[in-house]
Amino acid sequence: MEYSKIITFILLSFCWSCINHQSKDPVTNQIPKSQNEVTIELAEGFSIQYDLYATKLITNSIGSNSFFSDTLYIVHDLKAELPAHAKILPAELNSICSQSATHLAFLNFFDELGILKGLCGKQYVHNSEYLNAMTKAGTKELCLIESLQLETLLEVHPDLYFIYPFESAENEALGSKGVKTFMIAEYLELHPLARLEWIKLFGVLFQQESIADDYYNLVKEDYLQLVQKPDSTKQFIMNLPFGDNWNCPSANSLIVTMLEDAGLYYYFQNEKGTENVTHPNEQIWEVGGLVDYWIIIADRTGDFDLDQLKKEQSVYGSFKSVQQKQVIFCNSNTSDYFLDGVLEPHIMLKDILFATKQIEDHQPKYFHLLK
Amino acid sequence: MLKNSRDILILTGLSLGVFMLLVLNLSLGNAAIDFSEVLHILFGGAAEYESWSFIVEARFSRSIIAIFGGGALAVSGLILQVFFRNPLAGPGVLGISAGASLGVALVILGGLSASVTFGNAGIIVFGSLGALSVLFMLLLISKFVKNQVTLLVIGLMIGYFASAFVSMLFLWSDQEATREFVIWGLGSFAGLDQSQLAIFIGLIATFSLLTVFMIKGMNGMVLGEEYARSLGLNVRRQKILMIFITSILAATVTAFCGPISFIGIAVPQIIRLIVKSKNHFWLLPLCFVGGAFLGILADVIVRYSENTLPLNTVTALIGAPVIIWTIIKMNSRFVRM
Repeated sequence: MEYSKIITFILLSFCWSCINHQSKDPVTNQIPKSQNEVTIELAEGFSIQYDLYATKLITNSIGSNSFFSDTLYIVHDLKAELPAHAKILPAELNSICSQSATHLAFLNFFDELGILKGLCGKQYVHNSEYLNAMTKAGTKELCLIESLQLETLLEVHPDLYFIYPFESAENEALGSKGVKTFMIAEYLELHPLARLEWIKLFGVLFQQESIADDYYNLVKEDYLQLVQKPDSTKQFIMNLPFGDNWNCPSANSLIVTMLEDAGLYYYFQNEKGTENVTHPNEQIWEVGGLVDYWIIIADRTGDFDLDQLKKEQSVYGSFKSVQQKQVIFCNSNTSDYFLDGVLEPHIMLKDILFATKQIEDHQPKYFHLLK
Repeated sequence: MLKNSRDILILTGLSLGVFMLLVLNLSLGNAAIDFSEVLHILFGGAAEYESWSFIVEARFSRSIIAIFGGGALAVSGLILQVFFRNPLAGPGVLGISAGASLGVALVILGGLSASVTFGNAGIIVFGSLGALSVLFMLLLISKFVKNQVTLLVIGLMIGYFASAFVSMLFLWSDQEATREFVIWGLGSFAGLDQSQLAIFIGLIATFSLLTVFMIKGMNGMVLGEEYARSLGLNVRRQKILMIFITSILAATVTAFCGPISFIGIAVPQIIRLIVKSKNHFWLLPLCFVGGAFLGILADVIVRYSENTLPLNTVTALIGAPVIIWTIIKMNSRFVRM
């Protein structure tokens, strides 16, 4: 009797291990080839390769970042020769998920928020337009403290899941579970225009290349007209401390590049690389007494002003930028810095130029002088 | 008399050590300020650069907090070890630190508007409220519970209960808030302004001095409740006083500096090891100065590492071996029995 139970259990285990994970109906993936081939100017994190039967979208690491690469094929003809296990863009993209809220601006630009079915970090989205679109689309929260809730993702089962290029083991596991992922790392770009250029990649994904190209060219032209030469008499530091340390962006970072394009000069010029550099409080407190500008991007509720800033640390009152009322603030809680900001580097640049009194007649959208 | 001379010598030596570490902590830092300039600023002179006055003030303030905070934790650890007659009892076991953590979590993770309105003060107010809530719960329960071990277990359970709520808040919070809470949990003697410093020192000095009234009781309690009663002590009142004072001391340090581990357990062990006297007239001040020494030593190490080592890591690196040694010693005593 006992033996029969054990044998039944073993047989059931075999049956369970034979579950077919394959989709029942393979999709037809042919997408007509676009007439507008996209060329990449500044972005280093992706490339597009065209051939007769397929278009290849490649995303890759930049510089000294840990190496990664991902490829997505857009098949125009079934004659296309593809490697085994190639990721193919479905002919109809009906549902997508995203690991980052910074991808949403691209989706919104192409009016594709309606197919966003899952997002990691919905709480970071404050814009009512985006929130309404997500409610309409029934977008689900995919993560709990940055950790993916696998069952939710599998339930949504998107046609494509935009992911960050880290946690590679977890992402590989997603592939084996039938979730088609594609690495998007626009945030690694070192220039705001290079980040904006990722709009071309999304343009290819949504077959709207020419719209993407036109927008990019328009913004680029506007941005380049505004660019100033860094002036060493307008030095700046950035951000706020966490605990006893300040995490200052590297001199190569996108935000520092943009501020230097506004004619400002980064105090930590020599700290190259791609990662933030940590400085103890005392060091920044000393530097704060010397530099003219202080740029802060932080999450604050209500109307944040200089008095409230000084309440956070009385030493801020000794900062030259505070005394001269040259603290430039971007509230990531109330502005769309991480949303539309990705697509509007020219507006951000104008904000900084206006705050530093280099242009007039401008309504700040992201950055403003703290009063 | 010989015994007391040795204890006085140790007390003097430790006090001297605290003073030397204070001087070291004042001169140590990323800003290259001469010690003569530090002294000049401390005694009210004008600083060469305005930021230097804030830097010196911050160095002095964190040193004083380290001294008083370390002292308070060690004293509350000693009292609890006498109360529970267990050398491994410490401020964390009664659930007071967990109560303070819950209060702070409500502000940082729960989004209570107090953090915006009062900044750092919101954390301190709610941290203290959390700790005091647990304290009053314990005082209420202690009316009905006679056995200290039962009270210890109840304290631990309250701690787990509070921690469960903290975990829930943690799960529901965004990245920035969880990061802020994690940083608070790492512990730090830095960041208090002048008015907060005055409250901190005032509370700790007052309640540390109040322990003077418990010396006779503690000496009796070490030998058991029956012995203490035979000395004519009101044991019940003594126990309530012990819980009340230790809770206030532990709650103050936790709310202002974060949950700092190991000082409360390790220092009384070290003091008992090096001191001959069993009299709490000596043990209490020795523990306070010993805790102050460990507190400021930990802060010096944190600052020497340019804040790359969190305070709780440093106290654990120093305290954990002492606790392991205590457990081994206790075990060998039982084996011999």
